[in-house]
Amino acid sequence: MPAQPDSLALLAAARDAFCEILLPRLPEAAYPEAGRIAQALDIVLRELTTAANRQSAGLSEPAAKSSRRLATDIRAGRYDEPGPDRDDLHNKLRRATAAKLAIDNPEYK
Amino acid sequence: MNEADLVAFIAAKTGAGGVRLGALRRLPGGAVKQSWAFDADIAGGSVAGSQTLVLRAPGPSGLPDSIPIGHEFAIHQAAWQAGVPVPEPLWLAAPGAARDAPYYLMRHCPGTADPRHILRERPPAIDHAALALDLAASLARIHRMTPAAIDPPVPPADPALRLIQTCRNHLDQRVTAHPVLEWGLRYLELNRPKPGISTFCHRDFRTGNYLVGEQGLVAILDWEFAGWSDPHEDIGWFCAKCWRFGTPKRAAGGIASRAVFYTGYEEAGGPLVDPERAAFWELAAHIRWAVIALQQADRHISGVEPRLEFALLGRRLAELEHEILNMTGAA
Repeated sequence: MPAQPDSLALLAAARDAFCEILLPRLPEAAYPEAGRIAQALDIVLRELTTAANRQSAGLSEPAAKSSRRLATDIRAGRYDEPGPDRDDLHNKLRRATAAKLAIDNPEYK
Repeated sequence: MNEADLVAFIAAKTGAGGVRLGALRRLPGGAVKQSWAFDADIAGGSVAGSQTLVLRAPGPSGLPDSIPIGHEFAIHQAAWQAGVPVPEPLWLAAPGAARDAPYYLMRHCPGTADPRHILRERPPAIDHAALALDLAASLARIHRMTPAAIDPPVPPADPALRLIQTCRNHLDQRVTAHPVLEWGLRYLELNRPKPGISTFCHRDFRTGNYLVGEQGLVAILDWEFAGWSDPHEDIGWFCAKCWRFGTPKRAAGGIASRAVFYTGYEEAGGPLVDPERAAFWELAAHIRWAVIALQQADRHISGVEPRLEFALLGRRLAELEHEILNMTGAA
């Protein structure tokens, strides 16, 4: 058992306290902003959990491939034609987008 | 907002002998400009009586495409004169005319613009089919408007190319690259239709930007992006999945099918809808909205207008990119 709650545990406890204790007592006019606060806390929790899981699995952050270079090449037309290069590009874009979506809005359909 | 100044402005415009104001209440919505409702007791003059007015003013920070408040007022007036359902525009306080100018006043319209209320199906349900037809007819009317106060005054030669260039110009100024948006823009560039007719367009015509009351459509709001374009830009924006608020199967604003909306628009005198051209503009809508979401997040990040709402808009990017990949065959 850890000597003290880590940042993730603290944040999760704060989120639960906010949603379960405070939110039901707020006036209806405060719901939209309260919902945004809960949403922001959820995003941060998922982001921290993902980072912690990667660390414990011994994975480093993906090398910062030059997305600027990729963007420049796309605009220049390097991936205009169907083929292995474009398939590879699509795979990269899909994976990167899925990873972001898993943190920002995992229930999105 | 200085109350004495606002009282003096209303008195000067109406010839009232006395004006008493209630507290200003911020209304939800509006990309950049802010709207504030307040009660006014006006004694004498041209609009005597108790009434609720709305003050529309620029926010502390802006977006590049948002037009100046004076232009918006002129367009709002033109919409009113053209018979488009809008709150009655009243008076413009031009820059320098009052301490907190520029701003303009309009009459308050009762109703809700909240998509969660408008789209819900449980009673008391709004008649979505009738609402879709009213919106389609309003859009056809908007597309027949010829307001004088548009900047630039002539339509762009190629509205699609203008949108692509505008988005790229913004992306070029960012520290972080966005390859999915670049892919979407390249796809638009290679697949864009030949320029067709251009009309006056609202350019933010969507669920969330109109008021609905018990009897249906009340008013079209938020004219701050209006200008010339392909009328399919408004149709594509209205039908884009990102503006359906959790009801993806009803493509037209979350309230009706595309077919119902297109037919209503044509029967109300709008130009024939080309479904392929509309689909192009639906993709363009996702990309333009993604760029606007980044710009909105910048308003928070920069510290100029720190608001959680703006910060979270930056986190909408992933779902928009997901749709862009789906719509371009990359998923």
